[in-house]
Amino acid sequence: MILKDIHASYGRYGNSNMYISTLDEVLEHQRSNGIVQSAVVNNLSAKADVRECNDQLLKESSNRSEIVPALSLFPPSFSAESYTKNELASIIDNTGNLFFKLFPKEHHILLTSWQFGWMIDMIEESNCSILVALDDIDLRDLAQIKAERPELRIIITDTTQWKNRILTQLIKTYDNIYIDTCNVIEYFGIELYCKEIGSEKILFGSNTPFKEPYDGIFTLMMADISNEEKENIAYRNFDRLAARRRF
Amino acid sequence: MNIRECYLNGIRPDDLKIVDAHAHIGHSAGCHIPLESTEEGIRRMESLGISAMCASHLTALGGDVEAGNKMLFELCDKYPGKVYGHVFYDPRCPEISIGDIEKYKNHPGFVGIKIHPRESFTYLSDDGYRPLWEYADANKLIVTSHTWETEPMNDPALFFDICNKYSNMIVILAHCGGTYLGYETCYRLVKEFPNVYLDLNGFIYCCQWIEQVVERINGVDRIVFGTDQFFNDPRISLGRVVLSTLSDDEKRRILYYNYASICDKFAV
Repeated sequence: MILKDIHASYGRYGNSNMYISTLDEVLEHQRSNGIVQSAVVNNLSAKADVRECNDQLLKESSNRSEIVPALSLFPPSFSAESYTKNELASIIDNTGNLFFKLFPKEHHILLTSWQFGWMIDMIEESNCSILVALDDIDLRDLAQIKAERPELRIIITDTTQWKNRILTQLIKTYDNIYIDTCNVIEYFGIELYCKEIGSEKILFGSNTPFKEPYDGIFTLMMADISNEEKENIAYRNFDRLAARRRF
Repeated sequence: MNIRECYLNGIRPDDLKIVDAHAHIGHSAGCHIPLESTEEGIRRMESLGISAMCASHLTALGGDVEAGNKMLFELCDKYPGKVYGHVFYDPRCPEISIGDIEKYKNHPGFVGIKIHPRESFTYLSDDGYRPLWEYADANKLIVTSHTWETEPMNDPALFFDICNKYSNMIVILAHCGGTYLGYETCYRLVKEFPNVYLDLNGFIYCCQWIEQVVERINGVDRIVFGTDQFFNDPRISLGRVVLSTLSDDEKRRILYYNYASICDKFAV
């Protein structure tokens, strides 16, 4: 089975005694587990200089087809720290496939139209996808922004079974909301979500290196769903969402 | 082929024994659990090669100890060899709980006692648990406790005092404290007390790979296999073990033999 991972990262994070952390270590483990391409975040961008971390990630991912960079974004609140319109357009135009990653808790920001202003217009217009962890956002904010921007693609990572009633209804209500599998721990959750929201809305995500990829791979392999559904989750949705328009 | 290669090639190793030391039966309103019946759950469990589950009943965790324990052992009777029971001990009603342990301890399905301090709104250090510690220690029983470092009532650090006083009972730390700090505390408990075992379910939040856990506690001997089904997908914990880079011998011990060495219901 071809696997593409929507949720990987590299770099040390806080005081955690991480088993692996460098980009090379992460990619080696991805390869050894059959993962051929990963959306990768620089973990330091949650804590340190976002631009510098993004630059490092772009440099390290250039000419490495197994990496699709997931760049961290500050909203345009302060011109000294955020990208300008031209800078963001240049990144979108000149980078191969691309995702964006938000850290609302770490960066003390909200996922709302007024917080991101023109930046969210550009992301929506370019069909880029935003990755954000479920516990980092208020789902009422998400419902609001989706009501305003039906085409905006948002991939919710690190889901929790304790919010599955809210999240499932949200995805049924609004288009272009997706989930990753890294924390789909509900009882036979892959089958449940395929039935309720459809395999087109689910992407394989491992959350490497914060955890091992073994459980997610095993669960998808053993899932009682069709081969087409498995392929959607394993890599087709990744390919579809990684592609986007240029300015 | 080794165990990992078997699974990657779609083959379930015939001779692989698996017992789930941490399971639940019953209904919970807290989140949606897509399960029609206990029969369906057992069928799914067996389809993964797990021969038996050691469960507590969610009605008991939810507050009705006697009713929950009674329903659980009725299921043990209905599915002998497939469903084993943890009597749930509620520290808010210690007499009833000890009475239930007395009632069921000779039942062929009895494997030990389950506690869930957060659900019972009682700190592990509370006097309400003292009758349990004394009883379990005197009778050398297995006590499985929900642990989660960010939930003050069942922070695994509270087991240092308990294990210092009671060394005959066997303690299984379910979820291994849940978080990174919880795992760190559990490593210390395992190193300090020979009667403490780890159930690694809940690893999503711990930043610790299974290979790393084994390195930290110098081997697999103190790890038992638990899935938290029917809350959690049993494939999550199973996949973590069978696709890991641990040796086949280490995997077999985690999946069955370590628990069989402390629970007389399973042949070593």
